[in-house]
Amino acid sequence: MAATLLLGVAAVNTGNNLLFLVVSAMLGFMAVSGLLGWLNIRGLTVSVRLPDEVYAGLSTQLTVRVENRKKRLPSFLITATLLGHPASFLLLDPRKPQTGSLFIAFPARGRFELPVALISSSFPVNFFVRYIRVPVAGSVLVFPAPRSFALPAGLGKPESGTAQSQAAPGHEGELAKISDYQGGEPLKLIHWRLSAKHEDYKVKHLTSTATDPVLIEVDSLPGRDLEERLGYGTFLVNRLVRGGRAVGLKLSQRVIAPDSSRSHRLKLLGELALYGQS
Amino acid sequence: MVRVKSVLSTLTLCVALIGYLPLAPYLDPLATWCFPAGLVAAWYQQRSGRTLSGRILTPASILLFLYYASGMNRDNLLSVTANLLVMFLSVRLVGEKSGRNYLQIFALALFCLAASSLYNLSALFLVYLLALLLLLAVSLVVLTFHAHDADLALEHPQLKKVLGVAGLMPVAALPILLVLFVILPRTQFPLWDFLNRGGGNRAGFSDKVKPGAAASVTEVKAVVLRASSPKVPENRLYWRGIVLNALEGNAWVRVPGPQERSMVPGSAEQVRQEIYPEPSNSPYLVALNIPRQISGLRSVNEADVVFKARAPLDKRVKYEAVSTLSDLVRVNGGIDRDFYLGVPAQVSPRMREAARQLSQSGRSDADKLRLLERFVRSQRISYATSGLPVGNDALDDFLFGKKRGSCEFFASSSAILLRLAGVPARLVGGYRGGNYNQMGGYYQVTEDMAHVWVEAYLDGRGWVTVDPTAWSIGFGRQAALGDTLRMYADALGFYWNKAVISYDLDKQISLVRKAGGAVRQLHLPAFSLKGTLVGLSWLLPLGAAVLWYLGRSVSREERLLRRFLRAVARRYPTLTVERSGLFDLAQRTGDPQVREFAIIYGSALYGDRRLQPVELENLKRLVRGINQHHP
Repeated sequence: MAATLLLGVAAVNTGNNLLFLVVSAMLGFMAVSGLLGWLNIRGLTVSVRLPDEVYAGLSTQLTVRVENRKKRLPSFLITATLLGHPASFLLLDPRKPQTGSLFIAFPARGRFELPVALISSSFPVNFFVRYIRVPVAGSVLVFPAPRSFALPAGLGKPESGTAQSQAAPGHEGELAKISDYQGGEPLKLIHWRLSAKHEDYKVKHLTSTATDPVLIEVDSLPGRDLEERLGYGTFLVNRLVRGGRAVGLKLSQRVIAPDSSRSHRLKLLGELALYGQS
Repeated sequence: MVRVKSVLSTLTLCVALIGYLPLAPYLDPLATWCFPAGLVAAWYQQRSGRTLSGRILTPASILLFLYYASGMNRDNLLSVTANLLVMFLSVRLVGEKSGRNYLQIFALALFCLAASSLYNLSALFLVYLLALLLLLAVSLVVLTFHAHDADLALEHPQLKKVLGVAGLMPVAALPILLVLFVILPRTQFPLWDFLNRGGGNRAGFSDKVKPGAAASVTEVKAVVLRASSPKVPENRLYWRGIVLNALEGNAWVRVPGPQERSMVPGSAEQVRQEIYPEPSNSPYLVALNIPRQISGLRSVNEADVVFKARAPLDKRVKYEAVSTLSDLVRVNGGIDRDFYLGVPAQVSPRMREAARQLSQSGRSDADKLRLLERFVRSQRISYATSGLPVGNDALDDFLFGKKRGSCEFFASSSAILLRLAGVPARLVGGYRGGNYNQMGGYYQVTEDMAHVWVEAYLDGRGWVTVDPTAWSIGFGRQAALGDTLRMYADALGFYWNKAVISYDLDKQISLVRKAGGAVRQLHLPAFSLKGTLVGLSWLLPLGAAVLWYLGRSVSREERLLRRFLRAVARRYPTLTVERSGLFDLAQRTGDPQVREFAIIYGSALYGDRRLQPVELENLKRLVRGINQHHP
């Protein structure tokens, strides 16, 4: 540009038409390169594929898919930036989508509309970088950042569980021991086949780990504020459901019945993500 | 796979070469040979991957600058600049190459090409310019890829696409180039003219003619004068300016001559002209040969039919002239023959011998003139403006050696031969030819039309106009079949000069006037009530349909929301407003007005109902509030 200005001054000063020709050529080239740069970042669509579980503050891999919707013109040297994280594409042929990966950490829990993607490119001439904002369809539900803490006795995974947890009595866990009927035990715990061979009724003692459904009451969780309590809640939900326990949730006015399926776990995490938000 | 770096290196060498070639004929030997050496070295470096360190090249560049700058003065500014540009280009080629260095090479090549335009105005420039434009466009694109990743390698199809799109740019730039060339502002005069002094002398008419002083003359297409006049035959288009009557060494000059009573015969065709000279330092008034009278300006008619203005012509002036299209100036009472028979102290033996033969064979002055014509024609001399003989024996070399020269050589040698043969002769300086503008009814005379011819005094007749340049090879010859190509080239040159080189402020103004005239002449077809009604009957429903569609497609809630979002975007420019939720915006801005808007609007939106008039008013008030508080 400086060269063009210099030549422009020279052209006016000398009145030399060939210099005017050079200046016109340079200005023409600048105009066309500007137009080409503008076209280069136009007609691009960006979509994002997210994993099922996204936790606040934890780096998550996103798959960015960029498609050049122009009919003929390829797009060159495209960078798609989402939340400050770039993914680069050297050449995007028309109608041939390409994918790239990004690692993004969302700052807080809750439902996030996906931010606009910033498409940038220095093509065709590396003097300027041109930007355009492209909407990214969809939203993401960000779960609270899990906060780990030492589980009280009787909680935790059976395989890694402690002696206390195995000894703790329950109704649905594994068989811990068999003893004589003391009276008061539920009928379903009586070991009928063994009882037939003995004089006394024999009663199954099951561990409580897998047997007792857990109802997590968010407001009763430890933590200085709601966010900390939700973090502990998230950790608990994950740990217990993965350990095979049925987990339910007691929110301020609502109770969600315990279950141990994955979809249930995601539902609970979703509830925790939106808890306290309008 | 092709490495982007090697593509870029090859392109860079081509760019540098295109910059150097048009400038090469005007360079010093050092610069002329340094560049090819630099190019070969750069090519070798590209293959071997080695480069010269900046620690060697920077001091070398400084030394080169000092060397050339020490010999710089006001007259050779352009030459020094051109040499320095090529030297720097050569140095840059063999140095390390980062992105910045590549850009430096591109800029230097462009400046070299631009500098060449101050030496040569030929149409070949356009070829170089287009080639450079193409190469620069492709190189800059490849450089962008190189900046992205210096070790990038592209597959062949990818490279093809990159080069294809890059090559499209100069093609698309061509129409813009043409438009810009026409509309870029011109000035009446060059503001800073000394750079225009190229390597050769200007061909324009001067008060001194010294053949052999320069090897070439630069043909400048600058306009010298415009003369409003009827069209005259081509062979009569001689514009008389000055008479050079004496020799000073080898140079023809004008000295106060003897008093003569010159008389221009009034019997031949008379042409009246209105002449508009371009401002210049020359006091001589130019008019068609031979001017009888000049009016409209205070001037002196000197004895040899030379009109001289009393004041310098450094402003725009106009004068009228009446000329007789004749080739004879009668002199009542004869002339001082001795004054017009002076010859240079040193005349070559071959010229003396030629003059002796003229005077021996010719009985009268008219015979001698005819014999001179026969002699010059027999020497088969070509008209040329470059590769001219130089030195003290330039005229001898012109007649017997190189056998090529400009009008100065033809006129000067012929006049000296005539004088040696005893025929009084003098040189007339002015212009030959002119571009007739049919529309404006005027001749445009440019500097490259400067011409020198001879007047020989024939006893009993007077001063007879003779143009020895017409005796050169090919002058006035009918075009043979083989000349077709040359004719086309000449025509191309003519149109190049006409369209590009001589394009100036006047043409710009006349173009604007023409465009203005064309617009004024545009008129609507005659008014017809029936036609108008038919037109309205189509337009009104169409307009109504458009309005209905627009009104339907955007509800007032949506319009209000858009206004709100625009207002928030203006007030909080760092926020991304689009696709943000209303409550999200309220939270991020922390602005109570935004929050209130979100609550009112949200209650209607989530309640799936339209806004109440009161709510609408409230929302509008809020938007106004947000708009009023710009940070």
